[in-house]
Amino acid sequence: MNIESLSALLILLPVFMALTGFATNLTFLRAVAAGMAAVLVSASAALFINGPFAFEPSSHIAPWHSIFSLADFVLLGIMLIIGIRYKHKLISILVIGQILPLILIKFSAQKTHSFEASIAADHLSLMMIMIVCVVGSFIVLYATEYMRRHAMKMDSPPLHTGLFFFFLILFLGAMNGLLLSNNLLWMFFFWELTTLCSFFLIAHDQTDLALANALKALWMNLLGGVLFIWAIYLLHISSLPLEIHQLTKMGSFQILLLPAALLCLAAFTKSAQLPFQSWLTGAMVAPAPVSALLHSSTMVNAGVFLILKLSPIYQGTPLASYLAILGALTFIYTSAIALTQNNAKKILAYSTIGSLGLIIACAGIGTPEAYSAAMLLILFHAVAKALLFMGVGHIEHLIQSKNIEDMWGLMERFPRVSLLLVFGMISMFLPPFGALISKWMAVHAAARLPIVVIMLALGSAFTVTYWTRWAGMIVNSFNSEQNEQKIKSPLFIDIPLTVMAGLGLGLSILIIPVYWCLTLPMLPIVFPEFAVVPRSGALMENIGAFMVYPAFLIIGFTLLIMRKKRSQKSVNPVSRPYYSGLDPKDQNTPGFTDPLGNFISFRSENYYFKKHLPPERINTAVNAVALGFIILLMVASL
Amino acid sequence: MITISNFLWALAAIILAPAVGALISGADRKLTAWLQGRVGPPVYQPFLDIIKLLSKEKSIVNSRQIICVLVYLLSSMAAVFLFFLKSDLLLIFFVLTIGAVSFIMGAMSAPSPYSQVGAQRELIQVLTYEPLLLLSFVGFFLVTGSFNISHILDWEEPLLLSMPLIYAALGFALTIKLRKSPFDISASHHGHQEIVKGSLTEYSGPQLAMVEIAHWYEIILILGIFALFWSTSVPAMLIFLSITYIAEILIDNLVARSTWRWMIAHVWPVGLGLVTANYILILAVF
Repeated sequence: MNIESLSALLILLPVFMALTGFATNLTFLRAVAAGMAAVLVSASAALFINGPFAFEPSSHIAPWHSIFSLADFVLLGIMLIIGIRYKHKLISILVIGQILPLILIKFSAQKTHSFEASIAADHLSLMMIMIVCVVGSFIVLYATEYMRRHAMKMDSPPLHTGLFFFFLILFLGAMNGLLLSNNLLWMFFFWELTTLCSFFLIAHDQTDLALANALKALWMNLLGGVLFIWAIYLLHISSLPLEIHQLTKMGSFQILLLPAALLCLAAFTKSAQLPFQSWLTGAMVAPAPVSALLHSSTMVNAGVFLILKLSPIYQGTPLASYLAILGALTFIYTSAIALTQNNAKKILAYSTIGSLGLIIACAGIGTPEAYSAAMLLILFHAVAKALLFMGVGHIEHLIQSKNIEDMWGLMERFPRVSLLLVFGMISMFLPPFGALISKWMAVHAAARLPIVVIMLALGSAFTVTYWTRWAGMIVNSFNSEQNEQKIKSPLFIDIPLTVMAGLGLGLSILIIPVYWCLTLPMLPIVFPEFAVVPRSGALMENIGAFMVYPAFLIIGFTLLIMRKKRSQKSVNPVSRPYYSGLDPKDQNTPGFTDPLGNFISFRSENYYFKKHLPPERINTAVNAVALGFIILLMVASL
Repeated sequence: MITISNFLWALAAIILAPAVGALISGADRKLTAWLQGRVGPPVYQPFLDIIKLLSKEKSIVNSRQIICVLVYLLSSMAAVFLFFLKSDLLLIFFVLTIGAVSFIMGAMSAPSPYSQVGAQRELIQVLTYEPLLLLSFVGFFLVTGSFNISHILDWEEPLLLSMPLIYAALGFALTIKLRKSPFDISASHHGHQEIVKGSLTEYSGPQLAMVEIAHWYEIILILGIFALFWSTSVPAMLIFLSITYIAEILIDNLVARSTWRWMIAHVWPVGLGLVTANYILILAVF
């Protein structure tokens, strides 16, 4: 198979397979999903092994450009209909704001662009395509089981669930298309297609809240789309090429800065950065597969992907500094607010937005180290968050609650899922896992910019707090002797979760080869001065220390396994907790009998600092600050 | 940097650090006792304590506690090892975090009121000192241009002279780490605590011994970090460390325990202010 057909496969296969989402037979659907997963994974792996490429799809097969133009208008028409149907003026205005420049571009008598390579991929794109295909496929498999229960709970007709799968699988194709597009117009189409899929998926439950949040997500993403298409228009009227790799080869020209700034702002809306973060937190009403796929691993990564791609254009300009500040601001703000949340999915949402802010800060810092940190962070964050969202979704079905206060002692009730969940949390912020190594590289790179590094330090401390708190709750043992039947997780939930955990672990252990293969090839392209001699960055200098890591991991694991084996042989004297000598009710229930003879059972809650960090007021203040910085950013690129 | 001499240093440190930490801890108790007008236990008392604890029967609330304590111990050892390997300061910082996190998780896993309150307070303590520690390391970077300890040790003049305010901010972190008043909120060193022993309540026997040994490793590590402030001559370094530690003991005996609200409300603004002021000094003057 050649590159062209592989790329076409990656984009078009999910688009056509989306129709099988309507199949009612679960086994058939699972078989199809598994088959598609296998094909996508191997295709993306083949593409990755092959390396970077660029080509222009031959117009003998089909008039691609015309097809995309037509599809663009159809898409915008659909969104206009949505705006009209739900009587949402802002959406309609924004859609018209997109149709206008599109018409101007398409039907202007000016210049017809000759596209050199509409489809291209460098290592960044190839890495993200692998993420989409691997993580995305497993999430689709997870969704087959999750949606079965969800449909039972919500009592929805099969057609409804079929529509869900249609958009979920279609989304994979749209995402692949976005990542593969070098042509800005094509990328715009796929960008808006993901927006549309996101709208339908968030609105799936058809409750008032879901609809309202879906519309909010829609208009914010449409705002990004408006900025996107106007950026293309600006490039068009300056007769600049509309292809990303040609633009980046030009370097930082003054004239490119304004379109780049507009594209970066579009990316901000897609990645739910300040001040556009509320659509992502609102999108958490969607079913868990949506949160896992769109709103943590793939769609929101499209924004940071674009920002990283455009890096050669804004390197060293004030635009980069503002990006760094905005990213760091988002990171610290979302980490602080996550501390006040007790809704599991909201915590994960804020954590996602924070990680994306960190990636954007790295992009803004603009050293090779920071760029590598950003790439690695995308990779590890996607895997860990997918695991966490899938796990939380499953637990939500098991305990009927999204409140983390209901997750006390979860490990005693559902050991396997809890273990995977705790593993996911730990892999987000502790060494030697990849997410932390990336954060370490990011702080290394940011250390020259005191403002950014102060925000990163504070944000990092906040993240440690809320993850540790949550993990600590789960490993609690207050209901240890409950004779609840240890429920076995369904296979299609177990496998995706375990594979994600295994992937996270494996990639972390293999971080040095990952760094060599993924990020090092990108650096000479993005940073031409880096080219000839492989300069030592923090990772390479400390490669000695990193060799120590696997050793410690192995020793640690061996010790733990030895411990486990020994403890299984001898009976562990389990003692009751200390209650100042007050009488117990019985040996097994934690709690004590108070002086009036009532039994006080164990109950603990976390402190949410809601008085110290009032979410609404801080929200308004920080949004205003972010808006101010964005205005400064725009002014700096004029 | 992995060189043979560094590696041997690191190995020696791993073996000797608990002993040195125990002696420091014992001297600490003796000096505190003298300040309080008592005779106090002998300087080698911590050794006797550990031997006693290790010989006791294992008594735990749940199996997670064993794992958490083991991870705490291993990460403290790893941090000391990496430090004497003269490796990257930031890396050491993050390895320390593993221990702190695992300790908190162990305390949170026990369904005991004292343990829970202690764990939450420990969480706030970690929240308080982490940014200060990280930003102090960035201070080292801003002055010497590297996070690498071997590079920092090569600096010709004592770093205290360019980072006096960071030293003061780090003093907060030292007080919290050593569990001394006013920041011995979660698990006080001495017997006086309104929540029994706070986050350490549910540990006894060998587990408590391991926590104690991990604590000694942490003492060595944080004293090592302070030693970087005056690394030009060994006698001066020892005097500097002694002065710092004695100051800590003095403060411990002078000040009452604060609440966690007071701690965050005061340590953060003051600490961050000191650090920022020092950054401005470094960037503007040096």
